[in-house]
Amino acid sequence: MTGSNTSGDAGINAFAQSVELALAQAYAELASSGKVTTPDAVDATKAFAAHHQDHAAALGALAASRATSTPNGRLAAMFAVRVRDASDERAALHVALALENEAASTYLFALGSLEATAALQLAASILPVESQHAVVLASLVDQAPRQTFPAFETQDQAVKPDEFPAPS
Amino acid sequence: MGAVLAACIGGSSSKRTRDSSGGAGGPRADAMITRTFSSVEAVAVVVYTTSLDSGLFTTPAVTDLAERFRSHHQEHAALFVGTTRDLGGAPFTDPNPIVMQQVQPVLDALDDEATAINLALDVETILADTYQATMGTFADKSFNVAAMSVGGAEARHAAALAQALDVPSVPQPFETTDRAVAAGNGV
Repeated sequence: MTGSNTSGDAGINAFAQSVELALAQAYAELASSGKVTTPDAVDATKAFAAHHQDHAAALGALAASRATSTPNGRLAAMFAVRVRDASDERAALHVALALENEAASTYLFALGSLEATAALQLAASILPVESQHAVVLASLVDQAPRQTFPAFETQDQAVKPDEFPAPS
Repeated sequence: MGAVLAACIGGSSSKRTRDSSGGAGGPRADAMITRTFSSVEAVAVVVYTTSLDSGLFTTPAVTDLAERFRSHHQEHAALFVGTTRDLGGAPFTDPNPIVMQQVQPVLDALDDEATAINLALDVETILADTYQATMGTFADKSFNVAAMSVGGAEARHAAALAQALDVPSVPQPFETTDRAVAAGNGV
């Protein structure tokens, strides 16, 4: 845990926590929209929402005094529009798929800035899970393997704190 | 099968505890890690090649995935062979001998698609854990990103293989390093 009090790491952890809370909120909106009804899809999205809550809690513990209980505002608003605009289950699952890929990309971006081993290890324990969420969602929408399985994860879709600042 | 492989590798989360990031060993220590990476990637290539060549994958979608994943592992291995060379180390291109000691008997006993997928899932899990376990150990911190850009891809492979076996694709909210190959083990 040494080093997790550095302002840089604490700020990144708080940012990631706000992203996770926005993801959990997006899944809640997805559930309440009634657009996802297939049992497999309902089960998956419920489980993933719970994972994002778990991630937020763990990140909050590392963020310490910088922890937040508020979803990332700009991100939550953007996600809400996407969920609202989804016309049916398939479109809604595509929204979730995009969120998960963005989350995985965001953790890869964060790994380039984090310093403390505890923070690096936590981010690295979450990234693969977001990637696996994406695989499940991709299968539910029959996405082509070429798109689902990149040879390397990238930072191309990362959500960045300068554009989506964490709540203060 | 999982337990057999899990027992072998010797790496665990307890072996990666450090109290600050950035390994103290410099390029030589980083090269040992990248040699380990290329060695486990070579194991994955052997596993997929053996199963593909023996016709064990009979479902077209599974065959397609196996070919795709093998190609990824070849790319990953090439990346870390090149990185090792860049670091001034001797590239390690063979399959990790310690891992292969455990894998080979399982590989020799494969007799259908399910057992072949199960072994592939085991190997992908080991690889994903191995990359994750190196966080905070590199002297050159940029390798954290490089390692997890591959580790995340391996986790995707594992999820797809789990789906093919109808077992949970995302069994836990946090990936562990329980089955990681410790850096330097076998290389």
